[in-house]
Amino acid sequence: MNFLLYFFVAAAAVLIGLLIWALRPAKIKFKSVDAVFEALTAQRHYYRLPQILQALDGKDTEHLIDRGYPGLCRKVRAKRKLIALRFLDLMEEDYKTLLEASRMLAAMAPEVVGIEEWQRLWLSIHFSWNCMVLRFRLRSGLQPWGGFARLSELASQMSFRMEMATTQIGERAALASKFPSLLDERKGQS
Amino acid sequence: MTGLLALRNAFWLSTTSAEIILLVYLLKRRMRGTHLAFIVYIAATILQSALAVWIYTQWGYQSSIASNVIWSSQGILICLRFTAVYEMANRILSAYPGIWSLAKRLIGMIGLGTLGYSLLIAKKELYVLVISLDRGLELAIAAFVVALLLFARYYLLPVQPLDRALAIGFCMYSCFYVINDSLFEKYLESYLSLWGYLDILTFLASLLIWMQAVKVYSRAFSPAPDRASIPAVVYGTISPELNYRLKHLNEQISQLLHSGNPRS
Repeated sequence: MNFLLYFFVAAAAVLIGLLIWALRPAKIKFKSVDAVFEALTAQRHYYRLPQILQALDGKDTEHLIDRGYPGLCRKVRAKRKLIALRFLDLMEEDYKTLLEASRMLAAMAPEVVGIEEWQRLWLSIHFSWNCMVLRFRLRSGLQPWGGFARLSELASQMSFRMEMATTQIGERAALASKFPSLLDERKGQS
Repeated sequence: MTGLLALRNAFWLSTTSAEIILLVYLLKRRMRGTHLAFIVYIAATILQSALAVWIYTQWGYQSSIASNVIWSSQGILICLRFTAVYEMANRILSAYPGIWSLAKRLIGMIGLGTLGYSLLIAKKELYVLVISLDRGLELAIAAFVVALLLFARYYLLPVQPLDRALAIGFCMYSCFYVINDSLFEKYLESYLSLWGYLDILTFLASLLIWMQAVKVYSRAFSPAPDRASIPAVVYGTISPELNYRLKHLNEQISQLLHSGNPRS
């Protein structure tokens, strides 16, 4: 009996909380379709990865110790760690931009694929969690940047795929615009 | 107890007056085209009040006939409320056909799931069965409204202030109804007077929110917002690519986490 009372009161309270959260105005970054496409094709922060990797590489600052400046080395490494954290923030921003662009596209599309939309929601939750843990590890001095190298390769790979996709869209759009005129020509000939 | 009963009757009168004023507002502002289900629902609440007065004067508060008629009318009213909520969802999302077709299935499932679970865990005794059903339906309506607003927020869709106010009214009323019913189920007779009083009070609060919203925002209401659209092929091509990008960024972040390089 008590379970029922607590369950329903809690469910109603959770719904009221979600209602308040859902009613907060959302910040909308993109105002038009062009702005969405621009965001999709723009250069992202993860393109700067090679520089970040170099900055984080311990060997890059070892010469300071060899020359007898261990204090300066520590200072430089601390600064570079801050840069890595900032880079992580920017990557998160990139991710959010992509997500927002994808939502805007879905809102403009005549039909959407449920599985893809669900996958995106799941990915965003996963990404936020991973970023949080990675940030914590960087701050606590665990330096997990060995894997940063793979990001660089990924960035160029993804950029290529995106370019392919936008080219395909352009070709199809051109074909679609030509198609009615071709039909008209055929009608005229028959 | 008598004082509480008198207070409840006073609030009942205020509620009925508020319902009539709201109906007049809705009709005067020619909102039949966009808010027909809501108008029908408000008209039905007025009819229910009139019916209740007639039934109670004819058969008294304690008779089974009165109880059956009032609970039956309550069932019809909940269905009409759900229709009004569905109409609101249609107004908010129908301009986005892709999202609307997905939302219809998802939000519908959330509503049905909530109702099903509420009934599954409810007490099965006959004397509280109607209350259990009533509570389940109210919780389903509240879940539907919240899911709708979350959906709109996730896809950054605009929600007009009038619909926002309607959603607040529907959801708050349903949520308080669920709490009220749950307390009534536990304490039964000792809570009866307070139960009726709180029910009317929460509905009056919703009515006041709706009245104010209709008064202020109905003139600015535009049923079909202008929106840009893209061909299906664009979504079909870009969407998987975006997911690919996001997925791989995620994988890379995971790899970073598990790289575990020694400290340099």
